[in-house]
Amino acid sequence: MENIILKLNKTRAKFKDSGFHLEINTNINEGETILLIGPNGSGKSTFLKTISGYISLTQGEIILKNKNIESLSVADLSKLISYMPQAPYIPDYFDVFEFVLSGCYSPGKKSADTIDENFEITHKMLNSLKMKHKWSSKIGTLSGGEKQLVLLAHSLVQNSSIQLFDEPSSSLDPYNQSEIIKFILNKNNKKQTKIISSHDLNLSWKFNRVIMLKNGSIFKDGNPEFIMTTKHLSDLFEKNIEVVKLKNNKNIVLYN
Amino acid sequence: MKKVIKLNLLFLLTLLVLSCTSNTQEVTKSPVPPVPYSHTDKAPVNPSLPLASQTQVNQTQKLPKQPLAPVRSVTKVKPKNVVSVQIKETKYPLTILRTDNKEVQINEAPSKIIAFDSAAVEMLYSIGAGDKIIGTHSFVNYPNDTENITKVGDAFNINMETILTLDSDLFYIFFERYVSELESNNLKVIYEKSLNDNIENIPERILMWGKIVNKNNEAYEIASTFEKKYSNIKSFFTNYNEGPSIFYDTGSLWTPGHDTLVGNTLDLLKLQNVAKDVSGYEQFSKEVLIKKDPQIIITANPDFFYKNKEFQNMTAVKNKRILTTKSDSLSIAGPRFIDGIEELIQIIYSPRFIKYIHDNKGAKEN
Amino acid sequence: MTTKALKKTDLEFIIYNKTTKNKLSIVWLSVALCFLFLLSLFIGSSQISFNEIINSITAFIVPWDTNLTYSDSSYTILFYLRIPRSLLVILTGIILSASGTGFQAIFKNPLADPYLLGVGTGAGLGAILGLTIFNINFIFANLNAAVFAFVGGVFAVFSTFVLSNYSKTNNQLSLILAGVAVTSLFGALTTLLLITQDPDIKPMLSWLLGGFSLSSWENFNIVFIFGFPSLIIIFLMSEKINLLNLDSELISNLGINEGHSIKILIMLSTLATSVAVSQTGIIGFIGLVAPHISRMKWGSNAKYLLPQSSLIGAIILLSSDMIAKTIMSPIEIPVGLITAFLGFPFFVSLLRKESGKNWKI
Repeated sequence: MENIILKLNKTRAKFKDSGFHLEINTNINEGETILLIGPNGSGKSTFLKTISGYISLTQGEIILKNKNIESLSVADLSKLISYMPQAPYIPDYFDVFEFVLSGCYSPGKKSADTIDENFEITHKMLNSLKMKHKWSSKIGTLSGGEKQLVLLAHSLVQNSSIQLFDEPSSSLDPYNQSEIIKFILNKNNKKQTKIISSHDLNLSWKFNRVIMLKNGSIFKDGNPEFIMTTKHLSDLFEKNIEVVKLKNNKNIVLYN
Repeated sequence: MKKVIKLNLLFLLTLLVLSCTSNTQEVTKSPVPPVPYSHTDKAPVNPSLPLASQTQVNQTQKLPKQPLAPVRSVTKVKPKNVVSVQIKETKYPLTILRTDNKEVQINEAPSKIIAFDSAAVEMLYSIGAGDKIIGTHSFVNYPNDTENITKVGDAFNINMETILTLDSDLFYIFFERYVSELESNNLKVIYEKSLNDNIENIPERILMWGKIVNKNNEAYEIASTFEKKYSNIKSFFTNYNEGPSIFYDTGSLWTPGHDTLVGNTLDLLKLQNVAKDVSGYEQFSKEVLIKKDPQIIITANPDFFYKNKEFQNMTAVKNKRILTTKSDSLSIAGPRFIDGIEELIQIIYSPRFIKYIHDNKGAKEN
Repeated sequence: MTTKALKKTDLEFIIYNKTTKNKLSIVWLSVALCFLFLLSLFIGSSQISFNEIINSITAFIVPWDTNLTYSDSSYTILFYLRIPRSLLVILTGIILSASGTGFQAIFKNPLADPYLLGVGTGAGLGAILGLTIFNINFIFANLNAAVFAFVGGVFAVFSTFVLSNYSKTNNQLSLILAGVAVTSLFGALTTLLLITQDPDIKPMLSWLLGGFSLSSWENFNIVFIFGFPSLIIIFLMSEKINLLNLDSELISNLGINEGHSIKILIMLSTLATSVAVSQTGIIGFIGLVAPHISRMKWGSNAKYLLPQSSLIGAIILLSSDMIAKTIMSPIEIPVGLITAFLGFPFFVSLLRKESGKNWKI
């Protein structure tokens, strides 16, 4: 049963300070896992930011569960959406545990660190990401990859219905890149919608749906089985990219 | 990191310990027993003298316990008498020795003087040479005529351009900073450090001015009157051992110490200045003031003491002996200073004292 | 070694570390402060014997005991000068430290202090204006003089806000720039007034440099009435303050309206700081250092950082005031001088620690 959770009606938004505009017209269903791909500067981050409400639209509307996003307050939005930005500033003097715990903050509710459950959730999350031993390290002492894991944990403990991730594994080593995205997807809950933007095209078959963005608008959109083809990818990236079907029926993307 | 915090704490602690062990100056004996004087507006009456007509006396006041000097037996203290030789005419060229030991030669009576000093201005006016002043600083306000004099600077800054346009023949200043700058602009400069502790130098200065502008008779009059009054007062009080204790507030508990003109005045009047250990002007602490508990407080702002609860148990507050002077004569080391001293005598002791002081000597007041 | 390592990552240990340990630290900091407060009652510009103080206190508690010997002056000094003064010192220390903590969160910079947006120069200008143009007699516990300083401080920060709206981005950087602009303008105006009017600033000197020498109950009451409510609200906002340290995107992701929170926090801090400054002058350094020390020792969770840095600030200021009272007795030196002297060893130690990459403005 397909339940539309997000409608983007003829939305337009500006990219940062450039003159380019993002133009999206699409619907997103509850429980979908979407991989967002496209060349650099095609608007992936902007797309995620508009859904999270951080950037306002210059035209059109986004309907979230039958409510216009503009009518929702920052607090309301935060209860439904979690957004993991690409490389945000995290103060050096926070320690890992505190930072991840801060993700449990919910406006209007009791202080996050007075709820025992939150400690457990944080602890478990750090454990799953194999960062438990660094719980008391200051953020400033972490490597780029470790910071990203901590940021991911911060995002995941929010456990929102709509989860957005902007290149969540870019600083990790190749093995862990795919492991992490698998981890995000494995925590799949039919009620949770996840949109991940990534450059790791080989993972696209794990998703329900792939959206290809080019120059600010949707180039191709659909099931990876159908749209992840050599022609589409080569057109998208304007490079020679081949999709090869292996003996065990798995697909692989090759770059020339 | 922990080492760092410990270091800082140690530093703080050392300062704390050092300060706790430093000497605090303190009153070791209890203050002089309070003078039983209840505040009224009426003049006190010495029963041996005829009643003055204008004062109604309903109650006899208890006079101070210390023996009043009997009219006759006065220990003659010979005052340093500068005003001995009256000079008629100034002989020019006149050489003046400055505080920095340089000599300045004056060839004829100056007529365009920039007197950058309130005291000098008052002195010149008092000897009738006020019209010779063409410039002064902006804090001069006595006498009223000074309003029209060009102001060439404020208390410690001079405006060189204005000074030069005035084309003066004498520049008088009371501090050293600008002397060389003025001289390099071809000005004749007399620098005399402002008087701050010897009242007896005031008549000397008046005479100096008399010499400079050739108004020696007038200067002699003023200076000798000043000195006579001063020595009368001094002899009168020689016989007092101790007058009441006093605190002289010039604002927000800033007070003159023993080596100031006001401090010397208080000593002259045998008043026990609770700030006698202070040097120059300093802000007195509330705590020490309460402990010293002066019997009299002189201030321009009595409400400060009446309204603040911490002073409520002080003798001066309880007895309402917080007094105000009507004029600011004591702030300028000029001819009016002696009037300021007399005003103090009047409000602290009694107006009658003035009569005794000058009658005793048989010297007629002007 | 392995058993210890295991224990350290246990949930219980973490919970203890994050909560109980912090709560304990607040307890013993409070105890230290109380002790210092009592100590400060025995120290002052006049020497009062130990017995006199004890007897005075006892007389206050049990007024019917007539066997106690103490002098009126000792009693007055203790209850009308020393106690209100020490209380005011503590309150001022708390206000400055809490504001400093808030500002360091807002500007995401551990070098931010409560005077960043101009409240100090504003209060100074207000005071000088009162003294010169309006001829207010600058005597302490004179409401008029304090009102001028207070209004000046608030007005300066208000101007900073208005000015920063001219920027397209209107973020923390524009606030800081506006703050610098306002500070320099108000500072220049103050200097101009001092030069042209040449007032007798001796009564104000102690205030300008930061001093408690003329403090009484009236001063304390004013700061308490106007500053305490602000403090309470700031403390209630502590979790938000904690999150303000993060990137804008993360903050709004968590549901906090960043601009709104920043405005409220600045308003509250300015109110409290301005009223404190109007009574005690500009005391530097506490608002910068107390949160820093606290953060180094116990971490940066604002929920605990606020009370911890407030207590540390109060302790430092109280110690400085005790030194100011006695080091050149019976002359009191302005406490601002002592705190300024503390700056040197502090920053030297910071240098050695070499912290401070990644400071976002």
